Amino acid sequence: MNLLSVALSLTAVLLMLVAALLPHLLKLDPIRLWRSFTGLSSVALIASVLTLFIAPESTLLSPWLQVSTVGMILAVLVQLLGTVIGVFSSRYLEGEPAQRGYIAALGGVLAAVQLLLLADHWLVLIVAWALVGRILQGLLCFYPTRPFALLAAHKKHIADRLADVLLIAAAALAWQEVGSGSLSALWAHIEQGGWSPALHASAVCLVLGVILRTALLPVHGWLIQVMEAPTPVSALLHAGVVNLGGFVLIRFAPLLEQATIARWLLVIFGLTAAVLAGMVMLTRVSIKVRLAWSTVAQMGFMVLECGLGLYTLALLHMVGHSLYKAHTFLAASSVVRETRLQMMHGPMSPRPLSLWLAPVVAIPVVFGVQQIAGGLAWPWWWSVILGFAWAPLLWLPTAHGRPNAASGRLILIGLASLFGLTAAMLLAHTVPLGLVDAPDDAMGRVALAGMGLLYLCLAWLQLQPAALAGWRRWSYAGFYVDEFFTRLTLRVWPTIWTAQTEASDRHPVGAVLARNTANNPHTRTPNEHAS
Amino acid sequence: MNMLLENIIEAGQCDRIEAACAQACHAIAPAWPLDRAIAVNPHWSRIGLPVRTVAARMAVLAGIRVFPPRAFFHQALTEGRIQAADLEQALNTLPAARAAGLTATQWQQALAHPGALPQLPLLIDVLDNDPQRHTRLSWRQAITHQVSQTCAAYFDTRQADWRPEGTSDLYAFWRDTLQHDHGIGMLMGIPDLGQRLGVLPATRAEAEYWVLERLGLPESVWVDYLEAVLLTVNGWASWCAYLGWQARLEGRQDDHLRELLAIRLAWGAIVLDCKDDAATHHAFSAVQDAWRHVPEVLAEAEATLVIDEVGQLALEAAYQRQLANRLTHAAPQPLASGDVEVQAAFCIDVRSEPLRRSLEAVWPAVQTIGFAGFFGLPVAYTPLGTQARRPQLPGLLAPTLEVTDQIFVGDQVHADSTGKTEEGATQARLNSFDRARTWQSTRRWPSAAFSFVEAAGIAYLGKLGGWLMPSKRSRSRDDLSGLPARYQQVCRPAVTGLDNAAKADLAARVLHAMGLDKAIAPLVVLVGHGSQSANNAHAAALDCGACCGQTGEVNARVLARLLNEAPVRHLLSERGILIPHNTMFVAALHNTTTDELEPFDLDTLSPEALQHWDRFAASMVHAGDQVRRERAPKLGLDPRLGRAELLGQLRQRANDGAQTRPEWGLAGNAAFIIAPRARTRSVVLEGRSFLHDYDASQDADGSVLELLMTAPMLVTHWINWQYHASTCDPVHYGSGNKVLHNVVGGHIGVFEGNGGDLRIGLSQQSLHDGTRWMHEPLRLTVVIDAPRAMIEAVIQRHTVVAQLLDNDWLHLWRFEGTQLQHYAKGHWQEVREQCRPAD
Repeated sequence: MNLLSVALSLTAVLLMLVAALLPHLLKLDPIRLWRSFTGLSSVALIASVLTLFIAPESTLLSPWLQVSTVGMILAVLVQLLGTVIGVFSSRYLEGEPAQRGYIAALGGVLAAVQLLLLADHWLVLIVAWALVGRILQGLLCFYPTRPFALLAAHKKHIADRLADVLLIAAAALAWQEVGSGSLSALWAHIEQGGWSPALHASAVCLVLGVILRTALLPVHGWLIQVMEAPTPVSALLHAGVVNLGGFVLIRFAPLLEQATIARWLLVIFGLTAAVLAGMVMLTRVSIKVRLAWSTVAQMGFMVLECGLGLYTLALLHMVGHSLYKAHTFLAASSVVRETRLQMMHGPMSPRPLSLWLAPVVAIPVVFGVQQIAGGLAWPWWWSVILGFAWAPLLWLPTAHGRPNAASGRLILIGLASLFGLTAAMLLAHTVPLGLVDAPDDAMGRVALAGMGLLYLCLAWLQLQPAALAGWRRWSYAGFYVDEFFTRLTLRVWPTIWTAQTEASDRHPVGAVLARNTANNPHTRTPNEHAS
Repeated sequence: MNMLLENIIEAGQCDRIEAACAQACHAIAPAWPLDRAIAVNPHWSRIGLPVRTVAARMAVLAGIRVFPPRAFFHQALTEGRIQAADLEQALNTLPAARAAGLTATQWQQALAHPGALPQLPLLIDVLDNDPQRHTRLSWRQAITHQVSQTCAAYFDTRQADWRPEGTSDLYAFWRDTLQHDHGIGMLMGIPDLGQRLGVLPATRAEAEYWVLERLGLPESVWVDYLEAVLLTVNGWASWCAYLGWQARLEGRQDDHLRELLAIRLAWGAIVLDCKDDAATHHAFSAVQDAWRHVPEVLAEAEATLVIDEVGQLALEAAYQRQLANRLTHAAPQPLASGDVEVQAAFCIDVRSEPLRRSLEAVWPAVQTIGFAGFFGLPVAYTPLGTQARRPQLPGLLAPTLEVTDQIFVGDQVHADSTGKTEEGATQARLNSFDRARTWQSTRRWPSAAFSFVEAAGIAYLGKLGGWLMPSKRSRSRDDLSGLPARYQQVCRPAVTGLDNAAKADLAARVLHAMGLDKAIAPLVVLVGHGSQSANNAHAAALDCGACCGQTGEVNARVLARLLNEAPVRHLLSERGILIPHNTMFVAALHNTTTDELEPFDLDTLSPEALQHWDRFAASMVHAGDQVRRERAPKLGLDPRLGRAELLGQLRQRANDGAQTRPEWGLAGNAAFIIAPRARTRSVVLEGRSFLHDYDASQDADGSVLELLMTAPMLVTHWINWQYHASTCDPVHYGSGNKVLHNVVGGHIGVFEGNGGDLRIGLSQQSLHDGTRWMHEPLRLTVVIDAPRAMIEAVIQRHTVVAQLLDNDWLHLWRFEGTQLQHYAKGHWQEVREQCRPAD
């Protein structure tokens, strides 16, 4: 452990701290602030990359901080996202009056995330994670006069505080047992066979806290509703913040390995979110809300993988999903162009037979590719899940006067894609990430049943959508889960919905509609107009 | 309607209710979808009333602002944009101001007051008076949200992969949705809402009758109340009005708007049932009290709005003073036709004006012409091998001709020697679509997407990097998507199903309207226009409005090809239109973001025509550079940069997905000049004026003028009022903040944030640069160079034109010699005197 690697691994945290403080300290115009943010963030990114290669596993400030491969991979990822989102925002938010606060909050969130990724102590973990949420509130409420933005922020606030309580409980139980708040000490304690009911309880509290923070059902509402903040905030949130729960679960793998109840909780909550939110996603009518439900489903899947003990896959999922979702969110307005292009494609209804044959072909292909590569890389049930997942690649459209050759070509394309995806997954799986998987067969079978059911639903949907009308209605309503949470939030923080309701108190008849001031440039102060 | 109701309500009552609902629905103007986003005057159905009356109605019924806010006038006054003379003129012009004896001082004092007007309450507002209401959603918002989400689910055909099946009408769908809804009641603080839905009227008609019967409002205010109800969901109402508009163009009828009204009315019935008798009674009397005095409230509002209308006029007077000066002091510059080497026809769009001016300055041998950018072709275009048919003409009209792509190599269609055929291209394209569809299924279905991101998510690293530094790519041509490169060069749009005689008729009409039937240069360039922007939901709004929110490419290419066909020319000569043998027509596109010119089908030109083209293109490079310098300051760019560097920055801007202001579109539009170019050549109109060439001496029967005043003038008026309305009331008639936009149904429109009503109109970023408004809300000043009698004849024949003029929706001027006259309620007054009061 030399001085260089200590300095390197702390660079990102410190630079982002500077980025967070700069807007408060210097009266620079937004253009200069953005420039300095981009510079700081780029340097932080380079420092994270160097740390990953120079000092992948080392203790920093014992017992508080530690560099881990997983942490540094995510540090690189998050810093990369932060840089891209920063550069994007610098142009996207041009002319917005609150850019200064935005830059500060963006820097603050990134600093807190970087700190969390180094945590080797319960206190650091809890404080850093709470800070992420706290600073994020500033971004969620970028337009503080939008009532739905406040509502979403309040919902998140409630979920976060509950999560804090659970994490503190988890920490207290473990601390009591181990006699230290250090996580490394906890791993050592478990390795020496020091398992106890208290650690069981600690693990349960931990995973419940993670579920709250990861926006799984039933506390997903705030994530769906943050469309009330600018697009890049959504990108940051969906790609770089909600998935931190996955990081914590991977870090706590030694604790979870024996904590069966906690793992079952992860499997059940994760699988439920993946399946239900996945169905809800299909019913969404606006692009950003669809993407948000997709994130809930994806987070469910990631948590499921953690519960199943497939940590390598969970980490790959975090990285892949982050990159995918950040890009897709930033590009959300391209959907109009995509739709125009889609209109040229025309409608597609799959042939019924191909719906049933697709998994029958896809599952052996997934096994076959692994055999070619030299043996099964993951449990058999996971290969079956993959087969179900990618079966839609083999769905064939009903022929509209197309030659048979077209179908043949499509089958080849489907098989090639299937082959390619499986190979890509295998390749990624061989990257040494320093993780030890602990797959559980019983849980795996449950997951298989769940994903099989999801495939059945999708296939049925293609065949007889009318039969699922009632189920669609529930899905369209998001299973009414969030409504309870909304009312609860409104009881805690009553919201003044519009100035209109206030005015009507005084003039019950001739109420003057006070305009929604959030985005109406007319209502800005004269100073802003003149500047 | 059921028997019971029929018994209760007398037949006459039914008819009156029917008429009131129909009239209220008629007041809503259509809003086109995002992929065909053309500008519309949101008050189009209200032009039968004077502007100030409409302003009063909008304020009282829905809190909507029609004139600019008073702070806007105050600022204009402080900045000197409104001068004392302008104010004086406005006070003198407006009869109501004269009648009230309003003075400049009084007016300035009045600006200090916001001029807030009372808004009449609706049933759901007075019922929503529970002290606990801050712990739940306000009913107005919850209802708007519920109606909006239901409409989105009903109308969406593109976004959701799992849509409601076999739906009946909108009302039935909503009723069914609500009856199965277990959440809305909780949000509204009515947990037992589900049990109260028994009162829900079964059909649209019942809902209408039920409410009007029960409300007990005087019949004279029914229409007003119903319009106010519709305005609470104005976005979706405008979408329904669009469906109705399309249906009318196709000769069908569409009831969606009536159903939406019924839904919104039925909501009143539901919440009413959730209240006890005392509350119900109180609500009824409150609504009745408020609405009993509608005429008085409206009259009062109209009186208050005199201040605002004076401000509006003063703002316009300030602009008109400059315009009149420039137009009357410019010596007419006719062009000797012998010198003309190239004629270039541009769209009337305000963005053509700077380019035409620069081009003429760079190369005197070019004659530019202003003409509606669809080049008079009433076509619908279907890309080869697809069903994606789309109109390419103004939204006012229905397409009568079909255009599709043909594979056209050199001289003859289906050049077998190259083996390139339409069939081959179609199959290649369909195969490519198949591949794309297979690959898309990895992200479309949730189970596939889970593992897809795990295996392939890393590939998005490259795409993510793309946001850092936008490329300088040229405009992508989506109509060619899926076609292999070897077909892209030879795939050209052409009109189908027309014999040569019909083609010649069409060509003769267009050439006559363009004034090209007399003197034709060796090369005629038909310049359509289109914008280039990335990640922009409202991209179509920057394209050609006359082509229904598409680029002008298809129309320009089709017309050029038509006019180059030998049989057509032969028939034209028989009709007395002689196109010289060596003259060729060529299509090009003016990229309004980068001010570059993109030519099409140059490979079909003769060598001689190509030489002319090369000279023209070289001048365009210089002209484009000048225009970019002119535009640069408004875009925050440095106009002193080198040519390549400035162009590079604009190209990057065009490809920048994070750029919310790729260009300023038609912001600033204020005038429409229908006159020979000689009147405006070398006059700097600052990109604020639409220009249509018109020579009254060639239009003996006035038919061309009639066409211009009933088609392009209405289109420009729509554009002008869309910008006006979105600037004056960004909340109701603007689509809000782009950074919050959330596209609905793939192309229907946007929500701002999570939900709420569908948002129509222009975004904040299209009009405001963060510190100031880039559009000044002025009513269009139309200047026509035609005899008085000809203009008056058109006004008399067309009610719509008369209404626009008499109700002050636009200003009409005409040239009298070198002077200008202003049309005022059937009379013509000298403009110079008006503009220059004794000072």
